[in-house]
Order: sequence, then structure tokens, then C-alpha cells
Amino acid sequence: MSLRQLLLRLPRYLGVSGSPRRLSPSLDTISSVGSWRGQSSRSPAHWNQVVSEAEKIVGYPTSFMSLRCLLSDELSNIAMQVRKLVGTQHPLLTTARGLVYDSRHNLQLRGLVVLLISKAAGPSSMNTSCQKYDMVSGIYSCQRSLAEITELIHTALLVHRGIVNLNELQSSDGPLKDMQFGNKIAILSGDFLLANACNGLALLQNTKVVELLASALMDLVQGVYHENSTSAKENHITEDIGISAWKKQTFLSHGALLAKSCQAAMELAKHDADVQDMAFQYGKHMAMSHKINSDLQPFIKEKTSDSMAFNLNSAPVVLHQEFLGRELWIQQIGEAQEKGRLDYAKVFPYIPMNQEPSLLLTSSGCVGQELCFLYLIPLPILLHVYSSFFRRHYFNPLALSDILFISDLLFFKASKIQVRYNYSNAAVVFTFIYYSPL
Amino acid sequence: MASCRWPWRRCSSWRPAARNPRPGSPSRAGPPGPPSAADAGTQMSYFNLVKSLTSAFPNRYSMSRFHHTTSAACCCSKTRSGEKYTDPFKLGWRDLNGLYEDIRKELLISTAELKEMSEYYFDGKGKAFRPIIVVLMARACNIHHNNSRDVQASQRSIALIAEMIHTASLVHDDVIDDASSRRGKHTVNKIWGEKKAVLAGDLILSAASIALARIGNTAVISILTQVIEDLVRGEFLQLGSKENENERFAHYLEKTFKKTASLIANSCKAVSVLGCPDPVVHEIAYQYGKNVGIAFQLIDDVLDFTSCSDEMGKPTSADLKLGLATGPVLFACQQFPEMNAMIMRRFSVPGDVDRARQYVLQSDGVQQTTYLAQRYCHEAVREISKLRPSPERDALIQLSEIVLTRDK
Repeated sequence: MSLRQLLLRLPRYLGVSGSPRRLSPSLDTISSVGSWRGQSSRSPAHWNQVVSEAEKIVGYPTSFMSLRCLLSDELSNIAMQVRKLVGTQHPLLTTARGLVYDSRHNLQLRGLVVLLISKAAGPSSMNTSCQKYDMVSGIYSCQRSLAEITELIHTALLVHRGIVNLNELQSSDGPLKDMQFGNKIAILSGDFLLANACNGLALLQNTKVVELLASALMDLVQGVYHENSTSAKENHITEDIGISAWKKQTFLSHGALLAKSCQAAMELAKHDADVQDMAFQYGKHMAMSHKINSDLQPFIKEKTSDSMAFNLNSAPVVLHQEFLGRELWIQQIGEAQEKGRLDYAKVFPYIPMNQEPSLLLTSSGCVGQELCFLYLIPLPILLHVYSSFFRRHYFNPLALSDILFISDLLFFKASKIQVRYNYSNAAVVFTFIYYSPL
Repeated sequence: MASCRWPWRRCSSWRPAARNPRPGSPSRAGPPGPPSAADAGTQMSYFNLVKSLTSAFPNRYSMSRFHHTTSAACCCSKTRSGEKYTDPFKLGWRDLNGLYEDIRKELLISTAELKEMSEYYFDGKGKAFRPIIVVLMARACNIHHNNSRDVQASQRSIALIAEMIHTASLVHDDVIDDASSRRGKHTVNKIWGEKKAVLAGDLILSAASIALARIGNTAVISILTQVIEDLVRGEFLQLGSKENENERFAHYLEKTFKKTASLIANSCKAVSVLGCPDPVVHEIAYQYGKNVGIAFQLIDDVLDFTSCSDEMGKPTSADLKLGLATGPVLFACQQFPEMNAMIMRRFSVPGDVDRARQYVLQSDGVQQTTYLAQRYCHEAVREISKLRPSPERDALIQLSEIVLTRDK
């Protein structure tokens, strides 16, 4: 039975009804970037198209990469156990559904980026021992394993962060027994994914790569821990963190894994320290801009319902607070608080992003520009690398114009980026230098 | 110093047993009758068991080797007579000074609370059984190889890593089992909640992986990665149960190997790989660790029935309460077939736990399991005796007896 057939059966295991095309609003990243210019016609289908083009570049579809271990006995065991959870309130169910349905939008993104940067960098010119014999579509098989490991680690933590605290259960959560069982299965399946990741890492036979990915796991755990502890007290006033603290936390929870995986992919192809560092920076900024983009979503959606909630630790809010000053911000929050509960609709107008989307990048004060300067910058580099491949391998004018459009948008007032294509070695070697315009 | 670290050894119950060269003597829980008769009795029923097991479980545990252990026992008593006795824990601790400080240095964590959680079990109050075995094995292999008197820094790191992997699995196991106390204090999940405890476990595991990668040996990485996989698979085995009695015992032994012995076996193998290039030595180290590890867990399962909770630092009959049928239960079930139903429903009916406990204490399940553990220990001794004599090798032999006679 093929993997895909197996996956088609999975929804039934998980007891899911409804359309598999369901979209998670925060995840269709790039398409919403388009809407900033008022081009609201950019549907999620566009994003899917971009992804599938990127998948063509790297040789085979990366979707469901992390679920490949479905074929093993243990995971079918897990599927059986998860089935018992159907009807309970345990968050593991949501995670499991997400694994199947949102994988095209979010999950495999990390693996895809690792594969793309592997292909972009190509084989190292200095290294002659590393022959092309195990290369498929310009990517070494070890780099493909690495992409999978990246996905496994990410998914494992996704599962582990969905553990519930048994002493904080409400009566609406259902019986304690169900929650205990859900926790048990969540821990086991997360551990199983981690063990698979460790196994894959060991097979790579490269101690530096093992160290990089292990430290990425450590960063990720710390980041998730911090996120959990801040989101637990959502209704309370958040800590007084500036944007630099925010950057540090977000790097741990979102950037470290991709940054270190990209670096490790270069290490596997025996690239030198400079290229490795570039790949690290690239992965880091890519992940950070992804996070900022999803933080922006509640503020740039057309009309938000009153119950629209946003995280008080998200980038726009933190920047707003820094711009406004702590005391004024507390005052604003205080005005929006009713009986100890925060009314998000009342805070909403305070965040300057809630204006015309087109103003976001130009006139809405510090927030949009700051964000743009901070993180959106490196995204064009990827897009230009993408487009060079499109041009040379596929020449898909539609995808090309799409990508260039987005990339031009992101170049907006941002920085000078020098992209150098090295056509002599069948792949692109890029260097980028950017200056802050401030 | 070591003695104040190990207050539980105050009664030194292993000493008389150690002086007694006859390995088969029932050192605990057995009736005080003539030892030879008791021996023969347990041996008989054990052979019946082995007969049924070997068919279900042909290679993995090589049960048939137990037939030869008498000669191994002789050879170990011979070598022992020539060496002067040292406390294996004292001998091991010479290389482990600052063990917990060093582990805490590996846990480079900025968040104060997360750091506190991760360091919670590295308080110096654990038995450090695994690090002791690892450093003793390191020295024994080094001496065997080139008479080297030193422990390499990388071998000492393995001791740290073994303890870290063990602790990480404890933290996760406690959440899975919803345990509330361990080593005489509250578990991490009871103090900080399940959500944070799981992350603390992941964090310790990642710190261990970083330390492992820094050793810079890909063979060692593969060996210890196997442990992580085995730990998870062992936990999965524990979820399922077998209806057939013979399968059930094989299932139990496999689970015991994966959950407990694999860590000891593979970390022993790792230090031997670092200390000596000879694959024969690697296999000796692995077999020693495997057999001692299984014996250790078998005794642990016995203590769950015979010990009171004050001594263990954790509640007793814990396995029954979790629905797990361990060695003593499986042996008792041969005498009292009515236990089968209880095993199948995982002791879920009220009163099952107490009834099962009574059945086990009435049966010879405890003695049989202890006897099985002895057999594993003799196999361990037989393996380690193939190494060149050294104080560390003899300490490892002695340690296998401590495993059998420990009461905590």
C-alpha cells in the first residue's frame, strides 16, 4: 500500500468529517502578502501552486514527509490508540488532524526550504570526495534525510506542546481518564517521532550535523516552553518585553530549527563556513518572517469579528507597546478590560496596523516599516533563487510573475541585496549583503 | 563520603552473599531449608519455563546458555579469591567526582524555572547505578586493551549521557504513568504540571544528544541512538499485552530489555568502543550490560511486591496499579490460573490489585523471579570474566551481586 493511500485512510481513523480543503487562516502566508497591495484575488490556490512548483524543483513531493513513518508498526499502533480519543477534548486530536490537513500549508514548509537551499547551493567546489552519484535532482540523499528529520523534530514538538495539565482541567474537558490517556499517547507519539529523528541523524554519520540539530531541538524546547508559559496567562498584561527580547524568543521558538537545518544541509555537502553561515542566516530570517506574517494576520484581515483574538505577545503588539511606551499601553489595555477579561475588539483599534492594508508598508508609523526592515528582507532572496530555477528549468511564466511580484513588494524600501548567480556549477551560489536603511 | 551518599546500603546485605561462592543460593525471600533442595526445586520449574520459552523466543535471549552457568560461577569465584575487595561504588565514584555538577553544566538553559525542572533529579540523591557501571566498564576495557590506567574524557561523558537519557525517560514515564513520587520526593509533573514536565524531558534528551555529538564518534552516536529507540519501543510494548502465556513472558522480557537493559548494555558497549578496537570486547561489554540490566529490572519488579514504600522512595504495587503484569505475577499465574483473567483486564476491577498481590505472595513468583535474575547475573559474570583481571572487572562482578541483593 502506498503512503498516499494510507494517508487517505487516516482521516477515517481520526474520525474527521468535513472538507479536507479547510484552510487555517494564519498559515497561507504568501497569498496574504499579495493582499497588502489590495490584490485580494490571491487565493490559497496560488500558494499551493507555488509550493508544488517548488516541489518540482526539488524532485519529489515533500508533502506528508513527516508521516512517512506511518508505515511502521508503532505508528499504526498510535493510530489505533488515537482512535480511542475520538470524542474526547484532548488537543492531540486537533494536532493529528492538522498533521493530515494542514501539511500542505505549513508542516512540510521547513523540509521544502531545506531541500531548496540544498539545491541552490549544489555540491561544494572544494570538495572532490563528495561525488554526484547519490544526487537526485541536484540534492544529496543525506540532505533529503535531513529535510525529513527537520520535519520530524518540528512535528514531535507540535505533539508535545499539546499535553494538558491534569490539575487545571475544567468540567467541560470531559473525564479525567480520557485526558490522562490522551497525554500518554501524545507523549509516546512525540517521543516516537523524536526517536526516529535521532535515528535518522545517527545514520547521517556526521557529528557536526548531529550537534546542530540537537542544539536546534534544545532551542525549540526552550522556545515552546516560553510560549506556553506566556500564552497560559493570556488575559493578563504581558511582560514588558521590547522587540529585541521578542526577537530572541521568536528565534528560539521558530527560527532556530530552520536556521540550523539549513546550515546542516550545507555541512552535509561540505560547504565552507561562510556558506554555512549564510544558510543559517537565511533559514533564520525565513522562519522569522513566516512568524511575523502570521502575527500580522489578525490586523490585516478585511473585517474581523468581535471575538477576534490576537496574541498580546505578537510582533505588532510588542512593537506598538515599544513605540507607545509601557505606561500608555497599560492604560490602553486597562480601558479594554472588562471584569478581568480582555476585550480584544477594544484593543484592536489601538494597534496602528488596523488601517488600510496599503498603508501598512508606507504610512502606518513605525510598525509596518520596522517589521519590513527587520525580517521581510531575506524572503526575496529565496524568491529570486526560486525564480532563477523557474526560468532555467521550467519557464513557467505564471509562477514567475507571481514570485517576482511578491518579491518586488518585499524589496520595498528595504535594503540593497546583492544576488550573485554562479551558473558555472549548475546551481546557484548566492551572497547577500544588506544594509539597514535607517 | 560514598557511604553518606548511599545510606540505603547501611545494612550491607550483599556482603554475606558475596562471601558465599555458591551463586545459586537463595539469598532473599526463600525458605530457610537446605539450599541444595531449594535450588533443585526452582531449577526444575525453571527448566520447564525455559523449555516453553526457547520455542517462543529462540535467539534473542539465548536462554539455553543458562545451562552452562555453573562453570561460569566456578570461574568467577576462582578469580575473586585472588583480589582484595573494594566497594564497587567507591571505586566507580573516583572517576565520577562532580558528576552532577557536570551534568548541570550541560543543561545550558536561560529560563530559571526550566533549568530548575531539568536539574531536579540531578541532585546527587539518585543511585547513579548506570554511571558507576559505565566508568567501571571503561576502566576494565582500557586495562584489557593496553593496560591503560586512565578513563578517557569521552568515556566519562558516556556516563553523564547515560544518566541524562535515563533521567529524561524517567520524567516522561512519570507523566505517562501519572506517578506522584520518586526517589522520596514529588515528581516533576506533580510540581510543575504535565505540560512543562514533558518539555523538561525533551530538554534533557537534547542536552544529552549535544554532549553525545561532541564526543565526535559516529559509531558511538549510533550505539546510543539505539537506546532512545528502544526506550520508546519498550514503552509501546508496555501498552499492549499478549493472551498466550508463553508469548506473554517473552513480551515481558523484551520490554524489560528495551526499557532498562538496552541503556546499560549500549552505554557499556559505547565505552568499550572508545577504549578498545576489538569487537569481541564490545560484545562482552554489551552482554554484561544487557544481563545485568535485565536482572536489575527483574529485582526491581520483585521489590515492588516485597518492599515497603518508605524504602523504595516510590509507592509499591505500582506496576499492578498501572495494569502491568511483571515477572512475579506471570510466575504466580502458572500456579493460580485464575489470575489470567485479572491480567487480561489489566487489574482494572476494584480489588484486583490486592487480590493479585496476595496471590503473588502466596505463590513462589517472587522466588522464581529472583532466581531468573540470578541466572542473568551469572551470565553477566561469565561474560565479564573473559576480560583481563582488574579491580574494576571484579567490581563489576561484585556489582552484579549487589543488584541481586539490593533492598531498595
